Amino acid sequence: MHLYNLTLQPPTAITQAIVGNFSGARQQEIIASHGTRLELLRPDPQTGKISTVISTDVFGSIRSLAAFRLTGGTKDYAIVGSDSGRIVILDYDPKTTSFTKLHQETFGKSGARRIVPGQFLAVDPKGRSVMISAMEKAKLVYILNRDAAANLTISSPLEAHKNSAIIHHIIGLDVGFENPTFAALEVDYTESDQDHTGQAYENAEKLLTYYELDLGLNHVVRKWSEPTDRRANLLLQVPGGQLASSERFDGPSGVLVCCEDHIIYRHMDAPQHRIPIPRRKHPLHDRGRGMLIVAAVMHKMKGAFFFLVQNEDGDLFKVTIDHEEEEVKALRIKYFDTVPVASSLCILKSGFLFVASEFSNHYLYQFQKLGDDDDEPEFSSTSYPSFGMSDPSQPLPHAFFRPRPLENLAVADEMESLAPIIDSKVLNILPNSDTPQIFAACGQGTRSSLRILRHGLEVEESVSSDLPGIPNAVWTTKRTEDDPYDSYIILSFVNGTLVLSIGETIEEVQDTGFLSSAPTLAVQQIGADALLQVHPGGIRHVLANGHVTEWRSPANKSIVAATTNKRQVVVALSSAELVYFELDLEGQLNEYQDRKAMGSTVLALSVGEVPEGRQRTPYLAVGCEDQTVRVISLDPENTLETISLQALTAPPSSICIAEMMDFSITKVEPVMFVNIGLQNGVLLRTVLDPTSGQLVDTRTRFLGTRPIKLIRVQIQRQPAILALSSRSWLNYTHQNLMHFTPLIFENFDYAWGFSAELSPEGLIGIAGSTLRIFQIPKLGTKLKQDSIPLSFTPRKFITHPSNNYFYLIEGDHRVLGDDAAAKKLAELRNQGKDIDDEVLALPEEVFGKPRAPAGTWGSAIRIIDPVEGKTVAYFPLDGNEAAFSLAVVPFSARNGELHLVVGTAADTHVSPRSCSSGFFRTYRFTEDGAGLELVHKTETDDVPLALMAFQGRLAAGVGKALRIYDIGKKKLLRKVENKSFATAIVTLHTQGSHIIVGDIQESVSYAVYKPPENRLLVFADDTQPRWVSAVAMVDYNTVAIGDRFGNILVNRLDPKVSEQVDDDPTGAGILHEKSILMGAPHKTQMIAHFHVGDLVTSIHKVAMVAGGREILLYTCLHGTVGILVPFVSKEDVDFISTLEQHMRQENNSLVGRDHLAWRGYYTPVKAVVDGDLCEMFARLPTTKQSSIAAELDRTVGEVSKKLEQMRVTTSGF
Amino acid sequence: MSSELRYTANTQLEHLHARYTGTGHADLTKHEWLTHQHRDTLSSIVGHPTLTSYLAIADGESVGRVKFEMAEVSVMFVGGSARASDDTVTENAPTLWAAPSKG
Repeated sequence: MHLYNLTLQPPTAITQAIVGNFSGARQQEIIASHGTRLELLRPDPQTGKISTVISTDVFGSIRSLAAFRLTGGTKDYAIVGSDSGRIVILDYDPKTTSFTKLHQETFGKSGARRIVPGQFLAVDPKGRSVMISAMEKAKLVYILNRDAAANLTISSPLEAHKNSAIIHHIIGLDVGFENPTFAALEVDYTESDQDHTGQAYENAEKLLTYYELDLGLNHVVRKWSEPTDRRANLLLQVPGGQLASSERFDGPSGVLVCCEDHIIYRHMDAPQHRIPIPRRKHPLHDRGRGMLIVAAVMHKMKGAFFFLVQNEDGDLFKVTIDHEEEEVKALRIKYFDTVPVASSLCILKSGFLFVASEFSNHYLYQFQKLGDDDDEPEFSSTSYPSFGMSDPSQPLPHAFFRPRPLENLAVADEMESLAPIIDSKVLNILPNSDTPQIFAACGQGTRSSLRILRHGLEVEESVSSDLPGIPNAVWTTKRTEDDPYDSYIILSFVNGTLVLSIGETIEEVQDTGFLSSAPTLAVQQIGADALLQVHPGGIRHVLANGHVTEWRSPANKSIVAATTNKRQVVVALSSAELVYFELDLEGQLNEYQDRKAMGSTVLALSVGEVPEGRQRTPYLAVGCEDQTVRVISLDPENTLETISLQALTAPPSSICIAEMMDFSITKVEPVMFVNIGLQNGVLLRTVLDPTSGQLVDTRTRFLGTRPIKLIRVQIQRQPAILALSSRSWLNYTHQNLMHFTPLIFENFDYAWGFSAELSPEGLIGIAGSTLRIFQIPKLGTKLKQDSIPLSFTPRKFITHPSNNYFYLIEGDHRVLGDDAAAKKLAELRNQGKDIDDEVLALPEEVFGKPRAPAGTWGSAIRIIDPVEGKTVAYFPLDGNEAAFSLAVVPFSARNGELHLVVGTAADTHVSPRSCSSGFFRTYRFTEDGAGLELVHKTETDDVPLALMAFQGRLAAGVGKALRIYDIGKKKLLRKVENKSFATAIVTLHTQGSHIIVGDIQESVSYAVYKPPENRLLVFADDTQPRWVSAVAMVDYNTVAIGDRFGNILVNRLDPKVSEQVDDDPTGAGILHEKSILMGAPHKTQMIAHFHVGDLVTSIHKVAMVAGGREILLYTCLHGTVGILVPFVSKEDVDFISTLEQHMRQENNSLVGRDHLAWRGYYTPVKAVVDGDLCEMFARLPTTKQSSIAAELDRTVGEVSKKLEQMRVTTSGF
Repeated sequence: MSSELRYTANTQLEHLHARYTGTGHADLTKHEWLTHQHRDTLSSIVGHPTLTSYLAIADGESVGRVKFEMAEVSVMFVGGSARASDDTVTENAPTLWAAPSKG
């Protein structure tokens, strides 16, 4: 078996984001790291919308990012710390819209190791040097400078190591133009390693150390080291240094040390200031819990600066420092607003705050004010004795604030993010859909959702109105060439034409010069200021002065098809003749003297747009009933001569020539594509060779069941093609590559571009007798998301065999459940405590549920109707129970009546796993599955993490034991047990009498149930330990496994073994076989292995295209959706893997990671080709493309075609 | 371990050990070995964004706290007081990662 891995949706979680002027323009941009991808985002200060400029896979794991600018420069560079053992400086080149590596310096081994730097990055604010650090010991300092030609240079590394020290954070100190200094938070473990009593560990000190880079001597010295709070976790740079022009200090310099519950200002030879981090004044607030700052940002404005710091609940605090010159007078903190918990905060100079959420959607906020003059309580270090440092070992008294809805910020934009995907299903249950949808349970805590992902572009409808009849076509047109917007909408009916004018309202007009008594075939704004209407009886040329010249079709012949552009008109007559007109310089339409007889009825015609500065476009494409398409010259030298001919498999229904950019073909100019829609719903896309006029590089795609109509439109000022069949598709260029995506909207009968003041980039379409005006807001996205909100982190969900409902369990650790919260509140009320109801009423989606100590759970069972997109029923669990698994079981003892069994546990601790009691809650379905009725509850000794229906009974993985239960009157009855599993069973799958058991730590084992002896026997397992996170059965003997470290692999058991096991009636043979390697008597063999780079959370074997092959689709924690496609022929394997080999040579990872090493991170990659790498072929320079193609004995077009075919035929994407 | 070690004399061994923290030697105790294992694992978890997210979701904590606690626990010597008396390790070993259910 050979597999082809393809990412359909790249990871959407942002692990870090930095802001800077990366393109060198005045506008600020954001570089976001998605773990394995870098994305450049550009927020538009006018509209407040974020757009993606580029997004590239780096084939490595990004651990840290930093932006820096050389003194006096105008452009920021990005430094990337990754797992490649190299430091990389990236430059964004706006000309080629790509990142280029300026420097790549190797300093250590690859991998996220203990003493290999890459975990933290700190830059000097003046851009003179950078420190890169590991988790432990190693810190390297590089000096950045420019050479004579103003190119960026990097020095050899200087060591600032400290042996046996764990590093928590590093930061560049702002010291102006003095020697660059870095601050580090370190803990020395030498003593705790020597002391066996653990006392030294308790007493270990966390040191704040300054490292100074002496630029004169070119070495790093430890300048200052002082103990600070033991629970310090984060450092923040405080502005400092003097400006050259003035004597004034920018700030006091030094650092803010963020600790649990406190923030301390520290600097060498300066008094410390300490303030508490305020807590929520919430009646259910857990007072024993420490407050940690998880994200922070410093912002400098003219003559002032402030910090925004965020705690784990998402509350933002504004921290300010009062200072006189270099002396700090006070450190102040006050509540600012509450936003989702961020992995990075970025403040833009244009007044925006970008919140890269740690989970779920990311937000761009606009600052409304800076919280300067509100009545929010402010806490200052001056209100405590010795600035809060009188006894540093004692905490300051708690400070409180009242959370409230946003006041200082307003949401400007939202970026959808699937991360984390915790479970998913792939099904086709939505009506009117021929491809399956992906249902993903996403998110964490109260921001969780169940998302329905459909392949396609989102459509935003702005107007919809009913028409008197059913039109068969619609056009819009401007009045003159220079009009910014369209003036008329022309609707063609079977027996007439209706003209509407676009103004404040849309109303019918009569005096336009258009013929209203006949249907219309084409409408065109022609020449400078004239209009043209083609109808079966002739052509009307409406001049600017209202004068109409008409060309009538010859007697007994009518016009059947027409195509127009700004200067040319071609019509086909019912006698299979072509008539050609061209606009002369006076604006007169002249007929060419000859007519061209085609010999077969013309069904479709198309000419391209006139290229800028030209008189005409030289080619006409004609589709005839005899299943051919001919390219005909319109050049004056050989007008109406046939140049080339292509045979088709069915009569064409529509043709469209469009010139579009496609980097995979050429990077210099748009390519002329001839799109041919056939009556059987197949679209052919061919390239028209501009010199020879030949049609080459044909690609086919099945669009739907109806004859195709093709319409040339403008999307974002670029030509695009709408293809209408039983689904509507849009073919457009995005980031210089071609995309072909369905529109998720009603089917259209006809459509056209639409541009008006309110919707400059719109489209207009007719569906039945309705006229719709719509936009496509999110180009480039492949999956449209609809979401259903949830209350807790989703854990698992399942479908019902007969109805369409989903049964979903959700639960959160360290959160008060709804009933526990209500109980506690009642208790507080009884005690006569004053309860602030306003705070309690704050929306939980934003503010979260009250936190609680470990071992406390909030959990619920939810029934969801995915078609309607709503929750049908919701059952919260009480008694501190949390649900971990569920299954729909047709118990044979109840005549196959379906029951829902939910595995729960009370007072569960995650680490180490323990619970006071596990339970099986058995429910009966009521109201056709819309309700549940508890039948009984069965106690177990451990947490049931996996449940499954098995031969009319329930198979359960309870801790280390695999058991089979049958239903009884008062509880479930244990029938058989096997306790030989290593750690804990997390997945169960079955086929026949085989049970595939996934252990959390020890990979997958094969068990078999032998009814005669009532035995449950393990007969095969894996030779490798494997932290299983997802399993899918590929066939009876083969499983696909996803593991916690981002690998996906396929294991296969020898079919002979499985046969032998099945033939053994009692299982006695297996029982007495000799075990191998202290495990089962048989071992599975790994037949494919691949490192995805994201943690796989579910795998499905599905066909994504109607009638397509079955593939493996997987979803990952950070939002990746990918597929593994089995190759069908040996030839393909050879071809694609050779291409991959070449691509490995050409495409150097942006972080300097070796591709083969990355894909074989833990185990060498086996029998899997990286399709993402192969698809980078399209972005290679043309010469590289042709040399690789030559090596493969193919043309560039053939290589691209093969890659596209791999993608389209299996995923439809 | 680098290939240098193979070709250098024993005199330089100590220097190399100091340089490549986490390398074992003949007299390594069980606890030292385990401590190395834990520190290696913890830095690997902190260094892989997906793993920190995974643990954060399972435990209901923020990613920032997971990273912080991992680094804090790295300081601890595995075995602690248990080492003096008996050979069992599990007693005071930092309970690092959960066996979370899905998520």
